Amino acid sequence: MTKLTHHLVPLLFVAAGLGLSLIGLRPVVADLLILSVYYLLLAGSWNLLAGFAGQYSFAHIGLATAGAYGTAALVIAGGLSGWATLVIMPLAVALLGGGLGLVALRVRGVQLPLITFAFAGAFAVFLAAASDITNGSMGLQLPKLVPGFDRSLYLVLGGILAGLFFIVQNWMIDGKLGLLMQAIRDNEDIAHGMGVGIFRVKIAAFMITAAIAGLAGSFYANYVGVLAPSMLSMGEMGYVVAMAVIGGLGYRYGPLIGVVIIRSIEYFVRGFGAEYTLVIITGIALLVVLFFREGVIAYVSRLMPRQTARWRS
Amino acid sequence: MTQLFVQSLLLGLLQGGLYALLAVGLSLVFGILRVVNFAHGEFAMLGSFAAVFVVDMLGLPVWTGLIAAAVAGAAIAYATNILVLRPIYLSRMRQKGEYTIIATFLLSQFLIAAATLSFGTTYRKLPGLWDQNLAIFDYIYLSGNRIVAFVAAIAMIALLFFIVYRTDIGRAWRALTQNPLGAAVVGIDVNRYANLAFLASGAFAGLAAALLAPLMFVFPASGVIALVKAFIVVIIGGLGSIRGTLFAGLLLGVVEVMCTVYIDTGYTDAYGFALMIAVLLFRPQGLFGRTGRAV
Amino acid sequence: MSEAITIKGLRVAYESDIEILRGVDMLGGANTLTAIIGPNGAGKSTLLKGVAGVAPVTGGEIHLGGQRIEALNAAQRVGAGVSFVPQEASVFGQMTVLENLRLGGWHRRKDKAWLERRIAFCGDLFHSIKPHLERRAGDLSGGQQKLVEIARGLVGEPRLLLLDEPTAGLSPVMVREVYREIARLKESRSVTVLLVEQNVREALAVADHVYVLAMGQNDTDGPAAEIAGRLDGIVRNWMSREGSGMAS
Repeated sequence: MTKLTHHLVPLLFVAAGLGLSLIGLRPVVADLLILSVYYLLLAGSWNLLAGFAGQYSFAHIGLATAGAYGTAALVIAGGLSGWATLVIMPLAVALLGGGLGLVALRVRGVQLPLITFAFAGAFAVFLAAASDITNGSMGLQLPKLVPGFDRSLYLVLGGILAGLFFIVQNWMIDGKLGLLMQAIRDNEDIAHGMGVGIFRVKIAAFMITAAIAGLAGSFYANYVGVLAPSMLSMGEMGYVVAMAVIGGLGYRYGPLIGVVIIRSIEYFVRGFGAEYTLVIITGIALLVVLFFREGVIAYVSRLMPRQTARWRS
Repeated sequence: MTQLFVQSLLLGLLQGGLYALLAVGLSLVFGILRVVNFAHGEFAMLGSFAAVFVVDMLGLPVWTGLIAAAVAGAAIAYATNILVLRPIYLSRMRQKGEYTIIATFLLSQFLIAAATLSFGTTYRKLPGLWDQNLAIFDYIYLSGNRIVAFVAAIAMIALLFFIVYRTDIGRAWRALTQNPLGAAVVGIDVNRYANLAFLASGAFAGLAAALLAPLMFVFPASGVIALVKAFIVVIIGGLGSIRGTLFAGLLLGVVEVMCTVYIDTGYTDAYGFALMIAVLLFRPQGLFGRTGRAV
Repeated sequence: MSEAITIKGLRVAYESDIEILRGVDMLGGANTLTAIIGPNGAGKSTLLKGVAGVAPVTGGEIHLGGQRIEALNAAQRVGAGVSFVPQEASVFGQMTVLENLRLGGWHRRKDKAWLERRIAFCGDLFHSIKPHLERRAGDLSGGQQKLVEIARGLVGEPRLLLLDEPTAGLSPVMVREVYREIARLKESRSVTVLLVEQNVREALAVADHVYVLAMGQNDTDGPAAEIAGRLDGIVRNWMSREGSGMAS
């Protein structure tokens, strides 16, 4: 794809959000699409961090949950409007992510996945235990962005946020930061030898993707309106990883494809019950990792050799 | 005051021995293959379910449950190595370490989902080997089950130390840990010794979970908590160091119990994270880690 | 005792499809010393790694005596009599020198009497490490560690010894020790040696036969004396290639 098409994708999402809000979708489909934006933001930003910068973090759902609970705190205790939280929480979560990165990125290699995993686990325990703040499994109630429950507003907002994500992604990948990230991913020693400020690049990537996760969490809180500690589970993280991996890690549109595939499977097997859905999706993701390591995009483009260059970013 | 302190210290050490047993296989496998196994917690979870099956469903004595847990854990660990990990680390792909993390993480999610489907989400409990509270010096009370679990854990870790420092298997493991190329040129078969390490790792994780089962609960997602504990232990102790794992396990147990007693009871599982962050700020490579560059 | 090594059309590729070795033929006569020389990036080290089984062989044949070994893994090749001393550090740093030597006889570790004899013999080979047998190998100097690796490579009484730049980074005293041992091995006519060496003159002085590699393929070969005579032309050839950016 050319650079121009990359820049048209955000517009496409904004237009799709507007268009779908006008058609009047069935609520179940609208809900599916709106929550898919939440997953797209998470899988997409995780792909930027893992697929492009080579930093495998398991804190992503934890950061999104922090964004959601921060939103609840600002709205309920601070009396702010939900709109303001959509701006404030990404910045706040970026700072949280930066703090985590300062500890976890000091040592290269496998420390990051372990430390971020432990962070997610400890944060989940904290949320469950701090029931005086989080109201335990009963959950926290938040007002909607506008009175009443109008899904079309969220479809428009979802389209805009998805578009915003692709703008940020274009800016990162095509810019200097993206080049440095990929240099570190491909060979940290050589990147270091070329004078790349490795720690700064990693922290930058960590903070930007944390901000997107925070935005996703804030969007989730403002849309779903009920927050329970179960939002932060390793199963959810597994979903996000599965989406990025099935589509293709390190491909610009990998997570988008992954979200479409997994959300479709979810939609069609939902009749079997949640346990089956989870077994099917994690099973598929595992098979993809074992047998189609580069994901669907790479596999399809190998079937169509001439188009390889177009899809690769 | 002293009574509470001594009691907490002992309780912490007893708990810590089990954490060390839980984590030691993770460290062993990492040392040999440079693979962080995110499915390690599920070896523990499935081990404890095997114990529940043998004891509750078949009605066999409790000690057979421990054996069943160790065997189940070892079998699943072995299968994981053969089916999931070996195809990756024998391949010629780039970023093998990252892909093993993704693959084992997705495997862990799959195993949790499959266990939920098969066993349901009910919390189960195992009867202990020694369901009695003991009074020591008249004022310190410990449950017999904790003592049994601790003694078993320390015995197993002692066995591992013996294997590592006194046998040919241990010599091969140490060689692979210290210099994989050197191990290859002297003719140590990495596949064979990786298999053995996985067997040990799974057996220890399953056994630890079965020893913990009378004290905690058995349920499909229990492996996640186990894995978080194991990660905290290996990061504090230094990845790949068995001595470090033992020390860090005991330290984590003591810190958890102390904080629970003296600060707040609700956050037991979160104190370890704070401890880990504190250690990382002073020694990024862990207390016993030799180098900061793990991969 | 020892066997000839025959290599036919050997290909090695690490990642994806970038071949480092693109069909190399070689014959190392039984109990002879064959030196392999060539410019940087010619594939000399990769050839030894392919023979030792620590680099992925993607094509070709390797015969050690009557046995085909290219399909064996590294451990099985050690069992077949191959001993490889790589250029990279391969010493077990946390173990003592003696423990390192003990691991050199890994494939015959059940034969206790033989193993003790070999450890004693090989621990005695180099004056620079003889006083340090009880020390941790990681605490020795880089040159001493290299001598430990060479000694360890001899413990198993190999039929084929692969030496990859054994003297790189060594002090002149140690270089002399290493070449004295290599010469002794050659005189004893008990092992076939493939020697990769940057220091061409040193290698020619000790070798029976010399192969020249360039860009992953055979360039030329001949008896050491003959190659020594043509050396200026061969080296000029490398220079012109490197100058044109063909080799790197």
